[in-house]
Amino acid sequence: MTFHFLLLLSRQGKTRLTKWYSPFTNKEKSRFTREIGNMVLNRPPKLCNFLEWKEYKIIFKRYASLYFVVCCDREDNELIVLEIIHHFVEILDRYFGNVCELDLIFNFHKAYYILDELIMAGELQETSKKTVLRLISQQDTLLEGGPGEHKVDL
Amino acid sequence: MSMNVTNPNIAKTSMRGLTNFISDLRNSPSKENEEKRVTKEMAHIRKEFKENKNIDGYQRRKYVCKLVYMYMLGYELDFGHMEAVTLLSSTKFSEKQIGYIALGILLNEQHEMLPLIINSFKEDLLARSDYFQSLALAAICNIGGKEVAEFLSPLIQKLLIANTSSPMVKKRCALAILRMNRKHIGLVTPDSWVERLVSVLDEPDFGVLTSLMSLLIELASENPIGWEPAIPKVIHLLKKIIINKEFPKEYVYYHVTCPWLQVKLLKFLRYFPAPDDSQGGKVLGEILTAVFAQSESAKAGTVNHKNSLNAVLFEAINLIIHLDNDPVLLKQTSLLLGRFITVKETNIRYLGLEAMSHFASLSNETSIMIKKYQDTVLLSLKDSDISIRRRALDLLYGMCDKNTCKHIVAELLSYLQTADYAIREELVIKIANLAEKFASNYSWYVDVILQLITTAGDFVSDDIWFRVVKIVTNHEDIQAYAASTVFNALQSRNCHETLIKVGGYILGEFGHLIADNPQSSPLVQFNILHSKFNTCGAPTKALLLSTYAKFVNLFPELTQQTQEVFKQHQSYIDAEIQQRACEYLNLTSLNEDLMQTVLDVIPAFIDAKDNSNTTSNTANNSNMINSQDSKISSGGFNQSPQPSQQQQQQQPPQQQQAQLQQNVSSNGLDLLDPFGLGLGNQQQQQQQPVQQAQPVYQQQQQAESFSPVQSDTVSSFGQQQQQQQGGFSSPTIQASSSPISSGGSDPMQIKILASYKRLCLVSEGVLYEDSMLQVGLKSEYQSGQGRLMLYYGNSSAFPLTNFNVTLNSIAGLTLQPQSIAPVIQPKAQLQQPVTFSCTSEFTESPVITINFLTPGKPITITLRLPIVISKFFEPLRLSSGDFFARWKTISGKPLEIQEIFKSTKPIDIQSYNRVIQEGLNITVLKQVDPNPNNIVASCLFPFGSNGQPINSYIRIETNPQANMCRLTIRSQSATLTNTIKNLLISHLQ
Repeated sequence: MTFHFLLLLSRQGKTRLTKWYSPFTNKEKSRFTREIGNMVLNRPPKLCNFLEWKEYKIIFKRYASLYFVVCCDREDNELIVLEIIHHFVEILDRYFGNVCELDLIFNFHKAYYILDELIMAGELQETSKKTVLRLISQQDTLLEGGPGEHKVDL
Repeated sequence: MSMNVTNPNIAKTSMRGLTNFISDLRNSPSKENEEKRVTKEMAHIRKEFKENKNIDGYQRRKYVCKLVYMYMLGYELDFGHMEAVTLLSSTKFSEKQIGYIALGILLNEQHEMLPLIINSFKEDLLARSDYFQSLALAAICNIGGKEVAEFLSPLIQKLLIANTSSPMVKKRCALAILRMNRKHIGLVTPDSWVERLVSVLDEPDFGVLTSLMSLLIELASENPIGWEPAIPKVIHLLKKIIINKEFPKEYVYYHVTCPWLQVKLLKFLRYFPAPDDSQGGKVLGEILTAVFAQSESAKAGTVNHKNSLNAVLFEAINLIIHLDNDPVLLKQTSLLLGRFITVKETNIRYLGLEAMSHFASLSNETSIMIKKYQDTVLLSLKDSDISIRRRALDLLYGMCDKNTCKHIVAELLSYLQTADYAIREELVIKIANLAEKFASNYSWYVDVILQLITTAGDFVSDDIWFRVVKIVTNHEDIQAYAASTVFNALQSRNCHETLIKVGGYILGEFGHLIADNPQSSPLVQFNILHSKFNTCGAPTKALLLSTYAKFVNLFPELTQQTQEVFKQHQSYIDAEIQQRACEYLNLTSLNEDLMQTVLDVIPAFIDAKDNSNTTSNTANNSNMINSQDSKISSGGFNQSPQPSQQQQQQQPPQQQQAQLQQNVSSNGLDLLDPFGLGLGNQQQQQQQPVQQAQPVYQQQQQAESFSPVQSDTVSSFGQQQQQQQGGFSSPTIQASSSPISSGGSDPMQIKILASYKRLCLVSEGVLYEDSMLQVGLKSEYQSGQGRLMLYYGNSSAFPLTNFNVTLNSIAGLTLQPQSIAPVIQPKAQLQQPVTFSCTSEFTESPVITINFLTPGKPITITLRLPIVISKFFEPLRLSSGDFFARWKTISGKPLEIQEIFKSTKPIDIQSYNRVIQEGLNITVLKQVDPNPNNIVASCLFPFGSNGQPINSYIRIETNPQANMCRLTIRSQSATLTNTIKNLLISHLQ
């Protein structure tokens, strides 16, 4: 289940979130995003959610106006990757409450740290929704600032 | 879209300034407005960071967020990184968190700032807060490079096994170690880690287990040896989840227990042989049976439930295929897969086809088990989804056997007519391979290939038509059939150029077999070919000229027409065609005996290389065509009909005749073994003495026209020669090796050495080539800096995995290679830029070690990179007076070296001058020495170890009658003098 990267693309092809787990140059990154955007957005519905691309496999799923796209190795288990995507969406949904594209635009930094709770170094880190949400809300509590903010003696 | 925020934390923790800024940008009426707004904001933030001494944490956080947002929109950032680093060292979680998020987005593992923040990582790892530790670990997972690994891995290892670490920290530690090991292969070795990592498998937390399994899979995929102690525990965990059903409730996902963990546990076992009973082999059987029992419930429920169950099921199937030790489970697998490829869900169909390919390739029995699904698979070839079509094609290819091949090939051919371009190339190769592999009669094979060329000529590579020519040449019974078939195919108005090539070759050789038919009389054959002549490219024209020459030999009545064509091309712009025209004209008009000998029928081709490939025949047939491509042109068509003057001298007819006889004598063997898979070594060695006599001019031609890509049969001629002969390409080696000694030395090593030496003189070319891998390079040098682009091309039919290249700096030369992807897919190429700089004299070339896995075995290739000191030389022009004035100031060993050597080939001062001046960047000084047989030269090496540039002065005195050379070199550095001596001798001798 090694992810090389993860992209969130809007139906118009705009990139909403990108996370690169393997080293690519900036040029490659923008080329890949474009290339994959074309492949995924132009794919008719009802076809399978897997595409063979370069030496990788692209696994994607559409949720409302957003496409969640993952690039992983050919030998990875495709269905379980689909469920990782779903797991991520459910957590976003639970956290933002009926998540929509705008939530991810205005709270991009939150989307990133939720993703970090779930996937690290391209590997799945935590599979319990409850645990992820608990950890995030604990961190949010620390964020609230003021005198109660979490401080540590270093 | 709704903006109602239900999570109170979001409102509380968001920053208003940031939200407003994002709104502004989103509401920009045009891109220009957006850019204006961004420029304004950047200027503002830059000013704030610079001038506002009282900037507080909140503001810094907000500004950094804004910068990150602009960066994400694609704007360049040239400041702000430092501010993010400042946030890292804050004691407030809110600031630290934004700092880490920003750096995770802005930096990569090579960023120059990274060393600055390693210390922050360390401080946070040592902090007594799970959250701070987690943030630092996350950053290491995101951007950690080699330095981080070296500096922090002991600390992280300690955190992973410490009882005091929380699950949150432990799981991140496992993944941080995984990341560091990827960047620093060999960091985690079984002997020092296995015990500790296995002990973590007792951890009850499923999150920690999931992360740890990712780490273990990564390690086992690199090299499974040493990680076996984890097997019993992994099986135990599977039993706990699947059979005992013991698990924490919150890890149930749509009624499936942590499918992710199950998948990882099963996948891990795939890296090892079937476990014995002491490891839990029996229990594993029960577990897999239990997984299969769940497959029924995967038919209903939510899509997530079904996906999760099927994900586990497919992983189990993969494991069963890998273990290959349980007939009952294998039988169940085939039934299940049969069901999968007919279901409505495209995803499952796709995976079913994919798994079935693995299953079919397992053994004869398994491939028989799935025969009954052939029609379904053929149907999938017409699916509307290209992913499905690709899988179906792969599977059909694997399912094909003697009985079904005609049917399958016919289906594939009809599919080829409508297939999308993305899949055609693959399809063509597969059809060609199948047709050859299962051909019961070769006329069918010829038909198939001609149909391929007609339908998808652009996708038919040279390898394929070389192959058909070869087979026709080797099988007398189909020659007449082939001739009439190509003749008929050529009647079509729009012939593909490849068809013209095949037609030209076959009619040239076997046209006489159909010449009695008035419909295909010699003149008609000539006319039909020549009617296409003007539309063809140069390589095809050259080939057709050879055909015409052959016609003259076969049908004297065509002499006039063909000689007319030769005459027209005597001053043709393409040198190759011009040469052929002139030579053929002379050949066909001067000496009939010679003509008959040279233009005789090509003897059957000999397979010299395949004896090394016998095992791969059964394992992987798809590389068949590729592995043999080199033979076709080298033994025959290009060679014999090219009667250049030099060739005549070097290879007199008698000798050629000897080769012919030898070929004929081996013909009997060849017929028994049409694909040449069983030829012994003896054959190969017998062949070598004749090949020794290859004309020198071919090698020269090769050195000049060498290109990494085989552009056509003619210009790649020398290259193919080289492959064929196991590398007798360098004139030096060629001439120096007697037939006996060459039989003893490794041809591959000779070939490698020859490539290396050639590349020492030129800037690009192929460094290494075998049936699997081709390594090419391009290089640039400028004032002490160099840049290499290494190209690794996979020429095999399987992916090369765990691909890894090691390059080490040597004294005087610092190399900086970029990392590369670990896998090369078949027919794909990887590029690796390497930059390097020269700091002082160096004597040896750096060594490159390439490691990779092919299905079955690891391969290591060690090569020298053609980086030699002469690449850094700069011109030094001196007058006669200056030269001798300086020459006299240095004398005596070790600053002066004199060496006398005998050249192994006739001394040619012009070519010496060229090698010295163009190849070795040493300035040849003309008119310094009045004797035309002597060379005086000088060069400047700017990077001497004492910090000074060093001049070198060189004199070469030759005696062409005796073939002797005296070499004298003087410079201020003994090392440099010696290195130049070695270089010159190696390239001039």
